[in-house]
Amino acid sequence: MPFWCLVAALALCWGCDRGLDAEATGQTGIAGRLHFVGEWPANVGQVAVAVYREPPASFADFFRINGWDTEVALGVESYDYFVPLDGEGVYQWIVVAWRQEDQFWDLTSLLGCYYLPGADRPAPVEVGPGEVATDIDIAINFAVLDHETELSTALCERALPAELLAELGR
Amino acid sequence: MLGTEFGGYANEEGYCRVEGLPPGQYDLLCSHIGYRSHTLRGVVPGEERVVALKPTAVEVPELVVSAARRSQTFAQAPISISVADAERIADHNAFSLTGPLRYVSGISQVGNQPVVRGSSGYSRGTGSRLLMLVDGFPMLSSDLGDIKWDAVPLQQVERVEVIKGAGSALYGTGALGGVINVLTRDPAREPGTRWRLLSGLYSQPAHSQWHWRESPMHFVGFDVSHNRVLGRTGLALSGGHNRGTGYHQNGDNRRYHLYTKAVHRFSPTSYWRVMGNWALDDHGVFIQWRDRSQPLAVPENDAPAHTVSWKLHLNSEYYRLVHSELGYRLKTGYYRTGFTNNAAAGGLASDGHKISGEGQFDYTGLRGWNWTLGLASVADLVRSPSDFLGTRSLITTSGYAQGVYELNPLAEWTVGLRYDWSRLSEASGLAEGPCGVPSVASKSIGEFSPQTGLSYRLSETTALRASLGRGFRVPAVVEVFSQAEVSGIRVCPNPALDPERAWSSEVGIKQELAKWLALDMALFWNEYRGLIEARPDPYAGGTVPIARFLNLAQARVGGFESELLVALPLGLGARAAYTLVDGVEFLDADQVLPPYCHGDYGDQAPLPYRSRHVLNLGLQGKRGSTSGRVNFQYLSRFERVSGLFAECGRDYVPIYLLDVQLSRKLGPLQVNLRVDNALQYYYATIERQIRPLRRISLSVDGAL
Repeated sequence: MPFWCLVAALALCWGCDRGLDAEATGQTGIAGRLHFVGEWPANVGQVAVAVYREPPASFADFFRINGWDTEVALGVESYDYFVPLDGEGVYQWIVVAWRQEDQFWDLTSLLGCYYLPGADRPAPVEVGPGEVATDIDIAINFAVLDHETELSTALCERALPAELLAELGR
Repeated sequence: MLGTEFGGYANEEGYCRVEGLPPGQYDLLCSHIGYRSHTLRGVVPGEERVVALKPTAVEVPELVVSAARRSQTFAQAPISISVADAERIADHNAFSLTGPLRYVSGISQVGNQPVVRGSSGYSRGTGSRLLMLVDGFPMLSSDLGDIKWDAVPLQQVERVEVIKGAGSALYGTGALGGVINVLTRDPAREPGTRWRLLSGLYSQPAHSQWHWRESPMHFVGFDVSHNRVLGRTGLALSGGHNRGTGYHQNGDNRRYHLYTKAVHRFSPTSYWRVMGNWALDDHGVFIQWRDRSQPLAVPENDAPAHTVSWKLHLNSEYYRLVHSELGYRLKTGYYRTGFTNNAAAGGLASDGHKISGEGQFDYTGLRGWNWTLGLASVADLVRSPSDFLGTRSLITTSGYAQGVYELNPLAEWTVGLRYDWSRLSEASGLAEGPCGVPSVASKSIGEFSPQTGLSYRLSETTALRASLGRGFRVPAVVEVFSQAEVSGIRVCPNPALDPERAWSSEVGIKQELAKWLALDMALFWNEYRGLIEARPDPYAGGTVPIARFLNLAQARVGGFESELLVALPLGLGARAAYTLVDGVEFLDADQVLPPYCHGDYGDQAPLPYRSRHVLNLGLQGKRGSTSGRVNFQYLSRFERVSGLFAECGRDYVPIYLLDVQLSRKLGPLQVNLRVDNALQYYYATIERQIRPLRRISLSVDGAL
């Protein structure tokens, strides 16, 4: 009997702690600072950072958000964001959007995106396994809301196909 | 006494007496643990019969009531039924029925939701495709259409019958994939006061990164029940409380429940039964894990997420056996469910009321036929803020008839039909804005549900069965009217939503191969139409992301199920059950797809959240006052998941679960030590939610 008890105990020890992700990894994500330029609108309800592995190719693709930070502080000059991601890879579209109070997210309210100085298109960000890509800073100029200049949002929209932009009336 | 509510218990000499019966002929089922049951036919009052039961080493259920709404032998049922009795349920040291149901043949689990033969995937807390009954009363909530497991008085359960297949011909809406009928015990059977203490711990995960709490993850609870007989009235009272930390962050809970049941016997052939049950659940909300490296923690913003829910169930049933050929019952029920979430959990609230009434007649006066006829009405009334569900109602009126014709003493043919007429309240008052849903007049839905079946006892040891039936489910109020923001997506109402519909068929055999070996096998084939799924709606127009519940999937689930019971030497017993589920979803070219995981399936894809292979192995033994049980369960990896999360099926693994249990009678006390998930196996059945870690529990039962 003691022999069989030993066999059972060894079998239990050998079989334990298996299954999902037994090799735990560190946190994967994208972090950076949002710089807000200009006057915050009075009716802002929420600002969020959304990360896409691929820029949306259709309306339904706007749902394919790979990670987000919806807790951006309002009325501040800068905010350090962090977007947890569920895996490594290249993320091609990192955008900031806003919505008014009592309104829902509207794709026309894009505020800005991540791009490199001098570039005319959004920049991809590569994230390794268990790593956090840092210093992914994004500047937001509230002047885009006055429709006086839409330079930065136009740059962000360049990642989207022309058919989709036409569908969205852009 | 088959077909009636009456019977009796034999004394130690085996003598049984049933008094006060009206004149007529009756069929008596005689059964005893360790013996094969035997039916005495055509017994008349005043007659004395002697029956010798033959011993058998394998134990199978004797009597079922759910397959035909009347008592019949297990072999007479034309459809597959599994039964879990009170002892098997108590063995699990559980606070909820979901754990004990996990090992019932043909049932698997997705989250806390039971799935019968792959009939549903994961419905995200809405619209159960299994109908839940307690003593025959419908127990799906009025607002979400889900099963509230803490509304089941677990300590008072006598047995649970699970019908595996569509059951709308008898039970109407909701019985799409099957029916779970919880039967509570008669208060007069075990007079006295009993108590139970239950406590335990969850093991810490092996990976230190996963630790969300350094002090032990624990739970504790107690129940007290008192049964007594006052003249002609049997009375049961019970109550209890349990609380714990849970095994993950926001798993904390405090639950309270009270229960009472009274059965007054006006005469040997009539009774009135009333039951009341109340439960309160105050718990944290775990929507999804923080990330893969911290799967037991919630995102920081979700830490305050919390909800309080309550349930109240009251019901009354009067039954009278008018004469040997006619009996009737009148039933009324009230089931209230509600919840309120704090802002971090979505800020939603709802209060649902289900009011039901039913009259049922059982008539055996037509030559060879046993008829069950009934009329029923259920009103679901929901009150909720207008930016969630609003004030809605769903009224359903039904008529049903089921006949069982005795072709010969060995064969029975069952035929049944039910018509349900439902009226959904108008969709006016929906919030303006991104949903953009105009007012829609109230909507009526009529559904015919036919059913037929055949049971044939080839010999004393062999019984064949075959059945074909229809099931449907009227969408829950939340699926039609919900307006809420979930994970950054606006969910909008869809007043055009239609019922889900199914055809369910099977053939099966029960075979006692030897005194120590019994086998039950079934082949099943189910077709589903218009299954409801939440999907992004590209036709909504505008630039606002919107999701709705839509009638989408056409699906087919075929498969095979077998259960082998073996009596071994030295008082040991073994059980092996295997279910093969082959579920296919037919994809239209213009079908709305979920955002992720489209795969390369062509026009057919595996149904999401189904394990193709489910294997249950069990070994139990008893020596003196000590008994033990070991159960092992294997579920193959899901071949496909919802596509609502970017990681698709990455976090799904095959599931291997081992449970060990040891019980011992110590004087007046029954002590039960149990380890669930003894291998500390880490797995998920829905996205971003890990299932329970190793759970070690000890319960002590006693009598005052």
